Amino acid sequence: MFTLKKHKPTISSSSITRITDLDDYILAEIITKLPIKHMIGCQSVSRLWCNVISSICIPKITSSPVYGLLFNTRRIFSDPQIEKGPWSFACINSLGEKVGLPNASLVESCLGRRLPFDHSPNSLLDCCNGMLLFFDRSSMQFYVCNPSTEQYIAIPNSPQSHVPQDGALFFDPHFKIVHISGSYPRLNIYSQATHKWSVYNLDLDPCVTDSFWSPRYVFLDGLLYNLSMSGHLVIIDLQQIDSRAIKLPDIVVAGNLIGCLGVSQGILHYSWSDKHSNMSVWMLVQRGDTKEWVVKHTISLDYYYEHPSLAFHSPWFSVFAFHPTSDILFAGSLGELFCYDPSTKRLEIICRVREDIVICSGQSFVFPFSVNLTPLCAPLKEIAGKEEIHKKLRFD
Amino acid sequence: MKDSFNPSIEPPKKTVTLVSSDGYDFEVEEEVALESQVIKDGFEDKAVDDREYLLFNVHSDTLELIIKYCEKHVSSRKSISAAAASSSSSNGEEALKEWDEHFISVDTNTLYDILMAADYLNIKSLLDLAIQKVADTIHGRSPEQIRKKFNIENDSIIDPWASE
Repeated sequence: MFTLKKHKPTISSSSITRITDLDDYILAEIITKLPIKHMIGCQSVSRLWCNVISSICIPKITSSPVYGLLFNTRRIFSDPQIEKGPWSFACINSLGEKVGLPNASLVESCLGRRLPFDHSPNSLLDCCNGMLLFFDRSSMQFYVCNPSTEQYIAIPNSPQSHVPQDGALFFDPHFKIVHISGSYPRLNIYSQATHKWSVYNLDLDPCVTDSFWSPRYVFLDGLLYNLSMSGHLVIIDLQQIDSRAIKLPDIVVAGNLIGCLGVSQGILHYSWSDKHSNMSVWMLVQRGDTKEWVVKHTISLDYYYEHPSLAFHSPWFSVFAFHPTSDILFAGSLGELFCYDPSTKRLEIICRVREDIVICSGQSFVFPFSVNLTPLCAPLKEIAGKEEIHKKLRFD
Repeated sequence: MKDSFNPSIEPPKKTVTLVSSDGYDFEVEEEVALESQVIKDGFEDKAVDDREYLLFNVHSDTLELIIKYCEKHVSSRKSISAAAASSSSSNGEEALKEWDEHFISVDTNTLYDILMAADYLNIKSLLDLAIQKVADTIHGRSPEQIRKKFNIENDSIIDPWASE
């Protein structure tokens, strides 16, 4: 215990501290903890608050191209084929910069806890530009949700009457939703610009269409990409409605763990790991009339983490996602997520999951998430009234 | 100067004196004082007999609370790591969280005093705790309610709630 040498006088402390006396950066720290929608509204409290919010708080959460990773988990030893498990959110403190604790209310929204329908882990299909795509099985409706502004849009029902197994959300520049249905594949596209679904037939080699496809789609420059377990990259031109498949790099072994697809620095990237966790990363580049795989990195990490379920699986360590604006890779095993910088060879842990759960289908279900304050121009009443705030207060 | 610091010679209890802004001496154990990053940086460069810190910005009432917080955290950390070493189960972290919650449930002025002191002394965990507490107070209030609650003058040039 501490000892007090003098006797204290009975008068109380002359406390004159008020919230207005706090340093700007402390005030910013406080305001950054608020739900983002509330934070934006707080700009009208005073000039000081307006300055702090627009010049410190908003840049702080929106400047990072990856605010966190959204990933799926399931209970250890449960069957990964049946259902997805609960989603989790890990805040990134990569690039040596500590971001502190994530905004709790944003994470809640990312995990779908503020949705207008009863969601299950299977509802979340995709994440793109900080927006999430959900499918509600009870109303058979797609929803696009911006967890940062807590807005959502219900999408008119798809012409297909069955539950889609997967779906893709992308921006072109309005958002579009794509899902592929049927064994003779049909391409269903919803466009925000026209508010309509269009359906097209896809003409692909049966060996590609007979195999399972990855649930993760990637969109880049008018083309939609997916991986077929047959060992092919499927390329769908959404303007011409033309599809083709090209073989994955020679060393790739066709099968369940077909690798990870993503976009980094405007180029399509693909990664595949062998049984010894040697990770290869390729870029798809145009050479004349053809697209070619070019090796970017070959990474062998001497890292092993004892996880209870690893005894029953190979020690797979593979790329889960690509950083959109740098060479950084998000990689992991069943129990951990890492950030790996190939230029410095630095491996930094992002999170380790509890021992009774594992990261589920990391190659397909780890989504980089960024904060996006673009309002969804939604016809929903709940949104219409509050949209004015976002229209008036533009952030550069 | 560094030569004078020899960790192998352990006096019974090393203490540091913290002096509050209103002139009271608080003698605390060294490891308790080291919870403050400000005291920790440059601690070893200070002579052993000169370990007195004048905290011009911290009133004795606040300093008393800060010391209470640091003592609790030092002792909890010890018991948590002891429990981990003997691999016995412990809910130490949960209990500490509860203690923190109770500790920070103070009136608004005291909360600001703690916030300012935690910032001045750079005690990260206490600063985070106090920041979250203030944020919880703001949570869900309209700009008008916030101005009222925190006695902020309305000099705002924008009114996002006004219609066009």
